[in-house]
Amino acid sequence: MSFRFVHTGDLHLDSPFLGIGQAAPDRVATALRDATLRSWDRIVRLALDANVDAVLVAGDVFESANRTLRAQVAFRDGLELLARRRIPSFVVAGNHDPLSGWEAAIAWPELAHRFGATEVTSRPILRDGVELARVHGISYAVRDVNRNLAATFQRDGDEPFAIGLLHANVGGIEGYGNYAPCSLSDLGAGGMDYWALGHIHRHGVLRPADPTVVYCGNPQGRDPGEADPRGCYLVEVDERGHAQPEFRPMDVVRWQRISVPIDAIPTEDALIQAIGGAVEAAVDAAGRSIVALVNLTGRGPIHASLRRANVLADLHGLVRERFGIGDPFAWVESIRDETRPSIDLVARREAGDLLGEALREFGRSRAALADGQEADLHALLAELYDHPRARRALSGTRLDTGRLLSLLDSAEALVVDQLDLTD
Amino acid sequence: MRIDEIAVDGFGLLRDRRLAPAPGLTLIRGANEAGKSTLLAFVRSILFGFETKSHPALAGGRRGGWLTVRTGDDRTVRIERYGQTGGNGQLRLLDEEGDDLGPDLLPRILQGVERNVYNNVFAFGLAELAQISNLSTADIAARIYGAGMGTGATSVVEIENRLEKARSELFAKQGRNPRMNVLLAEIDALNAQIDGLDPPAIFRAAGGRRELLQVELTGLSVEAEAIAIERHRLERLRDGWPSWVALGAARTALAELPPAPVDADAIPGDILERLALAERDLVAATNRAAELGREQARAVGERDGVVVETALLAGHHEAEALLAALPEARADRTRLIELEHDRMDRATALADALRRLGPGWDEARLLTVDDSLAAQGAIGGPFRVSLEAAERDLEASRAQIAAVELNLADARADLAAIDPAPPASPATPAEPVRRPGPPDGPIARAALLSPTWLGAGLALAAAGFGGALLLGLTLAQAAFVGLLLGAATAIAGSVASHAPERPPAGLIQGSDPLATRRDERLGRVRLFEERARTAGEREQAAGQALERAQGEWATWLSAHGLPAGLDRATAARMLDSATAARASLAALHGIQGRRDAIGTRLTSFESRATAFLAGLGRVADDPLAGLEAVRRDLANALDAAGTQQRASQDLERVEAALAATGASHQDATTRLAAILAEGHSADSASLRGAIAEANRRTDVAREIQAARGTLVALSGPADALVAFETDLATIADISDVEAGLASVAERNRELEARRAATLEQLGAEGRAIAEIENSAAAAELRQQRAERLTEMAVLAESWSVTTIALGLLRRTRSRYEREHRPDVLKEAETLLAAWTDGRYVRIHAPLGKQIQELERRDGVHVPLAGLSTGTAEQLYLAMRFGLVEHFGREAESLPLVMDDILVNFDPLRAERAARSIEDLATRHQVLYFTCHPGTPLAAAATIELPDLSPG
Repeated sequence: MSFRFVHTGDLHLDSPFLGIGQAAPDRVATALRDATLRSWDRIVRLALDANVDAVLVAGDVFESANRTLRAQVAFRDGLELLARRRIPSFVVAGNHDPLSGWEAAIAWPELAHRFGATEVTSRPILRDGVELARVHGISYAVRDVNRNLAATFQRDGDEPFAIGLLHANVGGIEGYGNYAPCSLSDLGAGGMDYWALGHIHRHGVLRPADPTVVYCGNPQGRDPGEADPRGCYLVEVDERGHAQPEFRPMDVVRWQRISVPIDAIPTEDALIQAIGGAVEAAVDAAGRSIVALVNLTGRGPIHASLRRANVLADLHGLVRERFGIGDPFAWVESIRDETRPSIDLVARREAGDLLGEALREFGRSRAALADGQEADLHALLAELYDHPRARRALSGTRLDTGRLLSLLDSAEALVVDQLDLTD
Repeated sequence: MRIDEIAVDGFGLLRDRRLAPAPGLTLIRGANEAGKSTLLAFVRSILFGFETKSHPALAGGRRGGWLTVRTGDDRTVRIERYGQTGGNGQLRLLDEEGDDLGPDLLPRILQGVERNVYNNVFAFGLAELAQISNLSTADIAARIYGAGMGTGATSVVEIENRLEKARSELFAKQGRNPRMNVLLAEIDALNAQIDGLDPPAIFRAAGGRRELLQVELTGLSVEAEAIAIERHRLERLRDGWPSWVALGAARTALAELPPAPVDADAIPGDILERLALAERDLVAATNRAAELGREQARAVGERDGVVVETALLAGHHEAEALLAALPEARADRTRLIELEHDRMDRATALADALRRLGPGWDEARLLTVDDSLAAQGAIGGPFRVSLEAAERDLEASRAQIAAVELNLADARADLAAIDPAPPASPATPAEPVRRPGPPDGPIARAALLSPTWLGAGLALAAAGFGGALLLGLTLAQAAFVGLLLGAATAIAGSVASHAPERPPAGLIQGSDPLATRRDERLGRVRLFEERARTAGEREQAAGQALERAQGEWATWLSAHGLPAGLDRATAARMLDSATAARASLAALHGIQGRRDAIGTRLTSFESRATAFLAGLGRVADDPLAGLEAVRRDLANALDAAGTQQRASQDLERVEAALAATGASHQDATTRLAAILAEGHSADSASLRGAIAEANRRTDVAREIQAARGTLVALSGPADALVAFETDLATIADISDVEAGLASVAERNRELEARRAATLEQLGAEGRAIAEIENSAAAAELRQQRAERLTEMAVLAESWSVTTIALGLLRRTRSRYEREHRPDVLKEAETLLAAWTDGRYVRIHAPLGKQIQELERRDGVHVPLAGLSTGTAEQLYLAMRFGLVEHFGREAESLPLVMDDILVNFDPLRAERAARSIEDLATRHQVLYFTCHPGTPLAAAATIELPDLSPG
């Protein structure tokens, strides 16, 4: 019997938006603050509209550090709405909301089931008393679950369709904690038909069939690193047991990186129009509010102007004033100047003057980084990054090689701007 | 650029001075105060503006002037500047045609060199040369080092400083104000707030407090229940205590009561009420009978005490009728008197009227006069017309006759004048014509007399004398008759004298003129005689007509009862008098009638009254006065009769009441006897005593029953009652129970207060929990923290970029200093070595910093402070020459102006430096000011400056 369900996870309800400065007006700040809650509302609405047979939530509904009662109440309210339509929901806890974490005494509806952490258990998805599928799942008892939980999943054998619900890192994907580590082959061993996975915020189908392995991703990006559409999967299972996951964007506000090349832009005014046009086009394309991260790139005549004091800040202010003020809105969070002067740096590097010497100096630093020698730059930056309070505040910033290279590039551009006589 | 002309209009002591320097080296020589320094200042001022208030035009002229220069592109430009104060003044750049090229051209001509650089590098005196600081300003230093670094005028040190400043504005290790330090403080504060809002802790704490409060609430409820039980027991004891006490007292009283005298149960319950009722009725009947007796006596007295005039009462109807008519009778009496007065007045008036009509006039004659309106109308109407017409005709005829007689007399006189004996004529010419009546004939006289007499009569009548009136009337009648007789006689005579006469025929046919005139006059006489005759006839006819009219008038008078001979006016007045007299007569008759009727009526009434009074035995001279007395007596009699009647009625009523009261008394006596028999008592007092005894026993029994009922109601029956009574029996003093109750109430109040407080706290905790559940505060704070962390990350990147840029730039500069010598320094080192004969080989000047020391040929580093004045000046001059050469290579060369800068050089070094200057002048224009005639310079041109000092 065919059926359908929603696969979501990593809701991180009521967690703060990162990367938003203080200048955001109230309407924007409120929209961003409530974005995770509203995206959950959208998921519930999708489930109701699509009349699904179940909703699967693959962990990290909350964040331990940020688990607010508001979030718990909002989540419960969503489950309640589903339950009223007799839609069961199945939830596992992830590393961000392990069962050991604090929880308010908020009762869930009967049709909402959260799997325990002791062992993999299963619950059927029923329609008119007939089992459509069986959901196998296990929660995290604590944050650091290092064992391969996927390996403990085993099909019972009598279920028409087996779904594994788990929060795990498949294949050690970088940038994410390696919790409940497993491999694709591990996932194939338990006899599941569909793996509803959580943990990795970038959604994707790891394996289309036998079994179908899917990361739902988080439904609402919360920082510049979570740009592009975010959402959940609406999964159709046909009578033969073939799952067809369809990604549905659920984000309320979308992070959007927008690149504006300056090469053909002659004046600041034209640049403002170019940025505004790009931003509004991005809103139209997204079909929702966006937080825009604008990068000015390329080489052009206005590069020098951009490097003057306050020009970029003024530009930023003007763009915010003039564009994206409707509904949906576009909040231009930042405008980064990654433009370069219109000089031939290769040629200048060969020159015997100070600029040539400086360019050669930066070249030497780059080479050292390539050789893994980061100490030199670390030493330069130690004043800030070794400062106890600053280090805590910048804990999210990792001074890895890539980062240092980026900083080096920017510093080089700065020096070139300062020394360049073409101005 | 080179200067072709220096033109001073007015500047310091210079005035209207023009110099024309050569393209190469020009020696400008002058004694002290010849104006060399002033010229140097002038060149600087024209190129860069005036120093404030320096070099005023003391020798006159306008402060300023111009330089004519030749630019690199071979243009001649006049740079002209005037001004009284500091600053730009009035700057103009003119071409050879005098066209203004605009001030913006000047910076381009100067190749961007600014005042500071020019003044220290290109135009300097000994004073500027000796100051090292002049070469260490940033722009000059940058020129020195930037030249070789490719950074132009940009100072690396300046860049470093800029970067350092930007970096330190972002973050400082120990700072508080840099933005990142501020952010860190804010983040710490937010962390503290977020920790304070830690939902789990708050939620757990609130939940824990709520549980504790609920436990406390349960405990309070138990305690409250115990208090309630105790309070209930005490309240029962308190409420039961009065009954308990009453029960004891009643029981004691019952034991002490004597045996019942009568069988209380056998006596009807209402006997006392009935007894009291019967006794009350008996007393009431007795009292009523006494009261009625008194009323009876009073009524008899009233009835018998009144005297009534019965005869008067019997005839009271007649009396009332008479009394009713009495006012009319009195009025009749008054009217009779008045009427008699009127009658007498009327009678007198009638007599007067008859007297006025004349003698013989009495009432009978008066009644024969026709005084109707027709009669009165006839006097003024037909008779007036006929009589007056006849009289007028008669008068007219007579007037005509008189006129004709005059004419006839005239005609006869004319005839007599011609013929004194005229032929006989039918009439005597001297005799007047006979007329029917002369003007004073009998009719006229009568007509004249009659009014005279009538007037006298009327006058008398007006005086009220009737006799006079009658006399007047008689006289008038007589005159009227005389008049008629005279008139008739006159008419007859006139007719006879005026018979017509025919003239003689001979007079008519003769031809004698006299005869003709006599005939003519005779004809006229005849004519008038004829006319006179005709007039006489007419007069006669008129007299006859008048006679007829007067006859008719006399007939009419007689027919209407009036005396004959009256004229119309008198007749009319007599008719009026007769009418008035007849009116008086009619009035007299009316008064007499009324008097008679009233007199009859009054007499009748008086007769009736007299008879009535006589019937009452009363004799009165005036029956009307007698009736007045009857009026008074009748009222009294009627009052007395009414009083007597009312007294009789009262008496009847009282007697009836007395009978009824007697029956009531009897009834009450009977009932009383029956009640006493019923109560087995001889009298009322005995009966009441027996019943009171019985009732006391009943009351006590009831008290006992009520008290037990109250106790049962408070405790319940059976064992509960026993227990309650036992509890009550333990009470020694009820105040102990009251005190216990007060204590319990206090405990209860405290408990309620605690309970209310606990409930309040519970509510507050509940609200707090609800608030936590719905609060976005924590999320908002975290969002704020995230925002600051974001800003922190952004700023950290900026700081990192700046820090890396600064670090690597410093490293670059250090390396560059090691590996590169700036051209300026190299050239300066060459010159210095040449001038010092190789003694100093190297100038040490870190990149962007001041020159710090010289390195001698032997490797010894000599700090600037260790140099002699001359050597130091040679170092600075060498540096300047290096810079000039550098400018020359990088851009266009600028004129070099020096003021006696070699004075501190020893001769050898001065000689060598002079050669260098000469060499420099081959590439750059050099103006060298000196006061020394022996300056070792081979100049292309020499300009001698005159001495400007006074004297």
